[in-house]
Amino acid sequence: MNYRRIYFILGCLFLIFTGIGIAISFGAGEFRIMQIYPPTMISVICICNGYLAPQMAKQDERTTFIRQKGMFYSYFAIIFYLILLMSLIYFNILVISALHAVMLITFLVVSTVFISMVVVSKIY
Amino acid sequence: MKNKVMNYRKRNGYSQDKLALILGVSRQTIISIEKGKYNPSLPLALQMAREFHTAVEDIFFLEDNE
Repeated sequence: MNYRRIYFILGCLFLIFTGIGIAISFGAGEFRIMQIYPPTMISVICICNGYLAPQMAKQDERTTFIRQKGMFYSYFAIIFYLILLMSLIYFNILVISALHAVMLITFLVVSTVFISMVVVSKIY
Repeated sequence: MKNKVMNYRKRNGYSQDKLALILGVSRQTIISIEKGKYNPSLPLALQMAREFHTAVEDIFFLEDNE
């Protein structure tokens, strides 16, 4: 079985785990959005790696370019997320704990890096 | 920047896979270069020109110099 298929299967499995987690927590009446960040993040990583794996297998200048561009676009996205989150927390529009904020930022940063690499590889 | 990589590749009887193997890059890189989506680095362009026994400017050129 090739890497692409393994990554896609893992991504789908983690998406299913996320769905099951949401369903169970809603059923128990204790839904906390924090719980869905880790499995969703892992499923995003797996699905993006599934798409990128055949292209990234060979370490050449295009793959380096994709990584560089992906990080470059992510840098601006991360600054935007931080400014938005800071504004929302400062004006009390969003009231979250420090742990939640860290988890949210981690989820956004990791997802953005991988998704931007997929987008860049589509363009170039 | 435009290029005639596909013409030169076919003229020399190379498949995309074979050219990628010779140049030490992935097939996607060759596809992207042929489509004009990605411009190769100078060493890769020189390597390509050497493989096709021609000059870099014969393969790669600006659109207004076509």
